Amino acid sequence: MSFLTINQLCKSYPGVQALKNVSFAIQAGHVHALVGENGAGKSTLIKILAGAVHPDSGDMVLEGRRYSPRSPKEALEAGVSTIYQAFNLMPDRSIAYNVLVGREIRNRLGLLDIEAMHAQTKAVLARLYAGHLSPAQTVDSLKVGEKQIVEIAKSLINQSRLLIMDEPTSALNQMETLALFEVIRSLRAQGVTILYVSHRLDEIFELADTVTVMRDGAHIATQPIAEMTRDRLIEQMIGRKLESVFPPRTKPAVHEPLLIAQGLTAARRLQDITFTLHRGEVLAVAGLSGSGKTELARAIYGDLHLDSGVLLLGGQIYHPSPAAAVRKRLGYLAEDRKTEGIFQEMSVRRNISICVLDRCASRIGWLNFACERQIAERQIRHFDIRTPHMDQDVINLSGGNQQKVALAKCLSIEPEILILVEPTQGIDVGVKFEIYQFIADQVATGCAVLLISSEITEILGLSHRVLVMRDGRIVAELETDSTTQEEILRYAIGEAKLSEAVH
Amino acid sequence: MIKSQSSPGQSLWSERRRDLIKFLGEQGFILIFILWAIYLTFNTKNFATVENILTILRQATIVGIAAIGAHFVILMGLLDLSIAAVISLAGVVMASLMIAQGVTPLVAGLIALGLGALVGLVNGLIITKLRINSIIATLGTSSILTGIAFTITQGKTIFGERGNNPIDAILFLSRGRVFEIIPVPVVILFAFYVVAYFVLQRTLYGARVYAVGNNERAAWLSGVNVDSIRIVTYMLSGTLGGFAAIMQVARQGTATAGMGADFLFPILTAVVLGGASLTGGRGRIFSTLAAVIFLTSITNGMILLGVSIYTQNIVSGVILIVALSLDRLRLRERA
Amino acid sequence: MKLVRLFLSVLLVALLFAAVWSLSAQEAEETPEPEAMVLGTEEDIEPTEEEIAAAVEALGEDGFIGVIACTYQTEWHSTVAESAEKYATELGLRVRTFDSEINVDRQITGIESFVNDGASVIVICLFDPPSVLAALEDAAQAGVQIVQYAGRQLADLGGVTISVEDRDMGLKAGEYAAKLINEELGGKANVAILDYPDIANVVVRANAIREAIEAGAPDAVIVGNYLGGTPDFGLTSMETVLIEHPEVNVVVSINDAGALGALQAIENAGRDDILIVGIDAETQAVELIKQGTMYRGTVDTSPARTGELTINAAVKLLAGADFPRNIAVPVTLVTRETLSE
Repeated sequence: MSFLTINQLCKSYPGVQALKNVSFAIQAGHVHALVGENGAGKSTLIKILAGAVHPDSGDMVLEGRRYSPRSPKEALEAGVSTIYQAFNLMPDRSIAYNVLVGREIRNRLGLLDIEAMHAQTKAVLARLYAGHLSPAQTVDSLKVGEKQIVEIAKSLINQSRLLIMDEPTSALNQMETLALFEVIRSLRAQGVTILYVSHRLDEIFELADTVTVMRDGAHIATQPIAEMTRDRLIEQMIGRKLESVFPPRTKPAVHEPLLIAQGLTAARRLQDITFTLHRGEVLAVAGLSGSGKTELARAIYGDLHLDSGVLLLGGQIYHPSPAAAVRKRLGYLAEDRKTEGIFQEMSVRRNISICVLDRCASRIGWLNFACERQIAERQIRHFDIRTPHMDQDVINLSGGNQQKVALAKCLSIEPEILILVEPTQGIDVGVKFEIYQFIADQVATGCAVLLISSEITEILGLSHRVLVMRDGRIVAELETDSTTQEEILRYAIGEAKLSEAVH
Repeated sequence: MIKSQSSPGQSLWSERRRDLIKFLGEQGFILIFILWAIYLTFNTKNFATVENILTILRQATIVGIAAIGAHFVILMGLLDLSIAAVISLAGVVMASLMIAQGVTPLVAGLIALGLGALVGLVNGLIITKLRINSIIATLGTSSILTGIAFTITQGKTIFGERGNNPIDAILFLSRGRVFEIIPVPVVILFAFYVVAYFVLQRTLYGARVYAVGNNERAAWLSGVNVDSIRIVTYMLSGTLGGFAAIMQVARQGTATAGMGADFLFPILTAVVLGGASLTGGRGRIFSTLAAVIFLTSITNGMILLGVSIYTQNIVSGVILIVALSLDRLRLRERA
Repeated sequence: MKLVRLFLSVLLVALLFAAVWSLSAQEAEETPEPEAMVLGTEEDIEPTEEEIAAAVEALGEDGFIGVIACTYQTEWHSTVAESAEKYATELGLRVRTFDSEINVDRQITGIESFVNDGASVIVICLFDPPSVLAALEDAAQAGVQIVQYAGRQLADLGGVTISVEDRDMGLKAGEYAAKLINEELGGKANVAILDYPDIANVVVRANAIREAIEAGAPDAVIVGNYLGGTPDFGLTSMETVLIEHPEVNVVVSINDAGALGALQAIENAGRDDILIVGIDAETQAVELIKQGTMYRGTVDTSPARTGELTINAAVKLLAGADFPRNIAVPVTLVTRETLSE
């Protein structure tokens, strides 16, 4: 018998049917992955399971009993815990207090029994391979991954048997992600059922037993992961045939250096970085978080002060600054879309045109709106940005479309060089492929791309050459055609160097 | 290009409702304003007369002009607490130049404007180059300016000899009437707001002010010179403070070192009431104007109603809180 | 939910209007008068030659009178302190002055250094009495005698206080307004009072104005109290008052600043039939009275005389004489007549 059965769930919001007759079952003790693009209905489903939202129709059966939580509290009492992307922790209280909130241990005087609370917290943390954390530490002193562990500890204390995790790795680095996987596996071994929601297909194939695909509010398929291939999963998510993930790579037509970096050094972040970027090539920069790859991009764009080193742009010495970059047709897609890439409460039109708005202004600064609309319209068409009209605020668009707006802003300057930092982070698979295609198109027109990415498959699929960084230095320069994921990782982590030293 | 996920009927209703809530959230005080005006119309004999409405508009001029500067600065997510002190100092300097030094009104006025611009420049440089919080920085300059104003006046009122008062030359700014009916200050007030509207909506500078306020970092990465936008905006705010000072000297015919102090609260209240977000990036200039007029009408209405002076503070406090509480609607909508 | 909130807001507004209506309908309640203090007059502390000699002797080689002003930034305050200094010097008493700059810390420093330097009497203006009380107690412990001016907070503690009475000022202005009403308007008039109720002392003044008019010109109608206190408030209120109550023909203000604003509004409106009386004897007000404008009178609160009286009190203290501890500084009326004398 299934652990949880979901039967014909429907839910409508004004203007949109979020769930259409969704039915599937989750087996006890499984890691059950839930995938789908944004707007597929995943979050609505999670909220219904967590008791935060009530379905219009349909029912659920949890361990043979009817399950219809009227509030998050009821869900918790029924053994269903949910860990959202934004944690629900009190930052200035201790770990123990956060873990045991609502289940505080009191001594005979009715006061909190701190010692007992700490002991119990310690025991739970040990089960989660986090014995090194002190229960007395305040939560705000923890790293993201550790906060997540505290959330999980909370659900263990509540003796939850179903743990729902919404994009748990979105803010974690590679090491933290690996640690989290260990925790999830051990929870599964302890009999906890996990509903795992993620964009990252690699993780799903590594971790899940079963996968459910949703699209446009409807249930598409539920299958054991062993019977699923990556391409089929993607096809089910986006609802169309997938020819190939990455567009074909073309060799650069000419060998023309566009950007030369020599000895770039920035205090404790970059050490003596030297490389050349050629017309028509994608040069990828790989590295773990903290390796300095993002800092390299920022330094070239003028967002990070360089202590020494020289940049040559088209053969001339270049002093980087964002304003100069815009003039010299050097485009930059920032890492964090929300805080760096777009203006959320400004129109799509203005977001796209802001860099080149001076081209639409008269000498006294009077704006020609027709000119601005033309710029925006061209990019909206080029990127197929889904917006009702160009005066819509960007905040109302989906994540993928927001990223397209951010890219459109870069392309508005008709760049010769594009620096892309994590261009597909946190967006749907479908849009991801579109963005890959844009990069390929851009390169085909003679643009040079510096691609900073944490996704090695993306690097291998798009780039011509790969620079691997570690501790602020370039530790390897590899030809993409003759390298492998393992080799890149070895350099990134430092094993390659280690083995060299031994020989 | 257009992808609609909803059936038309539903979307129309929800969009209408969202628009209404958004409108009330940003301009919720307008509802209160309308109710207040209706109440006054039926309960006083003089509220809805041309003369009274022109008086309200005339009284709104000084706060209104200074509020344009405050509005621009708040759009960038910063504050200018020195506006009131600029009014005091520029007013005192202008009046004493005219009365004691015999400087012509035009030159004295230009000096008042220049003084405001200079203060704005200093504010802007302190905030951008020294990276000091705008509240602290402008509070500091405000204190310095007030100190200078008091040093100049020694606590006395600056006034001219009756019948031979140099200030009489600028009295047309407060008492003049265009076509014998519309007071000059009212014309100036509306003209300033129309210009401010076009500056914000139709110029490169306006677009950049919104961009800086909306997301400073994204603006910098888009090649916008954030520091110079800030400095220019503070200079604009200071210059408008200088202009408000000219108008106030023309209005009261004298100048004192404390003449601007009472304006700070209504200026900031008007901008916030008008729906401008204190974190920057959002605000409509005409809502600020409406809020200034609303604030003026509160005082006016209470005198017309004959509300005891001892309870006026309570009543105006309650009106403001109710008007501002409509702001919660928007925040809920967002969450 | 949002509509519920909207509804609640509207309801709140309705209640508010109801409240405004009921408040506007009822008369402002009379604030009870504080229990009257028995005050001495300036004659009571007029020192004799012997007392002055005794005081000079009491100061000895090093003693002095320390005058601690609230501020030198306003005309009134600087006049008091300068007059006290000048007068004491004339009497042959050593005197030193100090400016607190309306800063509590600075005032405490001033008190302490005067005590350490061997002051015999401290003459002080207090703007924040509770904060400096401890320093004053220490001074008293050290044998220094205290004279407070411009306030009566030390009266309860047995100190000597020299101050004008707000009530006296209000009565003086109100009485003169009543006299004008009786002599020039045949006893009938519509009066607006300019008030500034944020300051408690001023409320006393405004009430005294009302009391004097009601007593002196019983047929006059007091239309209401309006916000004044600064030129702008006086101007703004008067503009609206003239629309709602064009029948107003007398304005009495708790100070000249507000009255001057009102005059501006009245002139702007083209009216020349309104009588104005203020308080403070500001230079501009005195000029206007002299020139024969609608501005008819103001009340001189005698800063120079206050300064002299503080020194007289100090002399009495130094001479060990017995005298009433709380002295009322006389207020005098300034009108066309007094100015032409």
